[in-house]
Amino acid sequence: MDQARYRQFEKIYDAYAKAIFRFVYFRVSERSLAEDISHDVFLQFWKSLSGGEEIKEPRALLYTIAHGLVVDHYRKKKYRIQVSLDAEKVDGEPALSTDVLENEAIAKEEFGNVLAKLKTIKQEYQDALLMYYVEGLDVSEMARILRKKENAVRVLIHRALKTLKNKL
Amino acid sequence: MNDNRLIQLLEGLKKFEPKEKTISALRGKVFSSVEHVGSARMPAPRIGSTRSAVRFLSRPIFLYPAAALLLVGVITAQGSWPINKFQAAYLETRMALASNGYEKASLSLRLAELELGNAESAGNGSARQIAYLSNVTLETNRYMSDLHLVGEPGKYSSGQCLAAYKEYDGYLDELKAAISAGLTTAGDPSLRADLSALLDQANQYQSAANVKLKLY
Repeated sequence: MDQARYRQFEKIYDAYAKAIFRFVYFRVSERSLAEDISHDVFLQFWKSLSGGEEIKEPRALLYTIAHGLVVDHYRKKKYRIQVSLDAEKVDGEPALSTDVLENEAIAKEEFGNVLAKLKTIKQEYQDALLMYYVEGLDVSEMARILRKKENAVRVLIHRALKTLKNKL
Repeated sequence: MNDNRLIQLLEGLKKFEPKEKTISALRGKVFSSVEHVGSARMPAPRIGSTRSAVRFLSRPIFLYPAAALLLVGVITAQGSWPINKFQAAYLETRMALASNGYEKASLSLRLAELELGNAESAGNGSARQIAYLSNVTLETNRYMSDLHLVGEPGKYSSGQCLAAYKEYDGYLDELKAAISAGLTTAGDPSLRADLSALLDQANQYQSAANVKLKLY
């Protein structure tokens, strides 16, 4: 094993593991599934890195893989998971489980409503809002991840926001 | 709700961070898999390895002639056909034909248990046996790591995955006990080094397996 690449991978993992897990978790709402997908994200990233591929933008690549795996997951399941914070559960676990995330007080209140409504809009809108507002990706990074032109990404964010607003 | 308030709420979702225990569990799983990928790129020398034969057998066109050749080859080489070798060949052929990861993991685990039983009944372990056990355990761990805890529709359930992990954990316990027993009797330094390396391997896999088991 190439020790330099391994160390590079460790640094990248430490820098982005929480963000990638959060992104996936907000999209699938189930801890063990989020773990499995996050695991696959980093494993695919490692395969690219250890295969000699030069990775200039690790964050963009990680989100590209994560986005692809989440899309694949929903394509396979062919149904949209509905989210609720308290009574209803998804795959046996609350959408914002305090067993997984810090800050219990917030999880139960207003953010919960936003996240629940977010889960009811189109998946590409969910990705756009989560990437832009939660994960802090810029439009150019998102354009590469989503394989769209920058203008198209701006339009996507605008439409996603408008759709979510109408749901609230 | 106006746009600014909505944006503020969306940006507020950044405050949610996974708990440390979740990330450390994920880390164990990721790095365990990464090390296996690394090992797969630079495999240890395999003595008596049958994986290439399995890959060859997985091509249906070659299946029957290859199986016949395997039978003839082993019978010719050994003059007899020990029952355990029959079982191992049978399991490896079934693995080659298995349609999903769960089946492969279960069969690989049975093969590992069989090989451990063979090694134990043979008494003092040889370098060859240790290398083979190391390989078969590595393969089993790779298949187990690929299983999804929540199961896969039409393939296996979450409960089956849990049962497989428990059995795997039991196998690793048995392997570790056998290695410890071997270490108390082995005098040859190189054999002791091989046994210690296998013990490290088993410990590492069991840590990763326990991380998975704790998630249930």
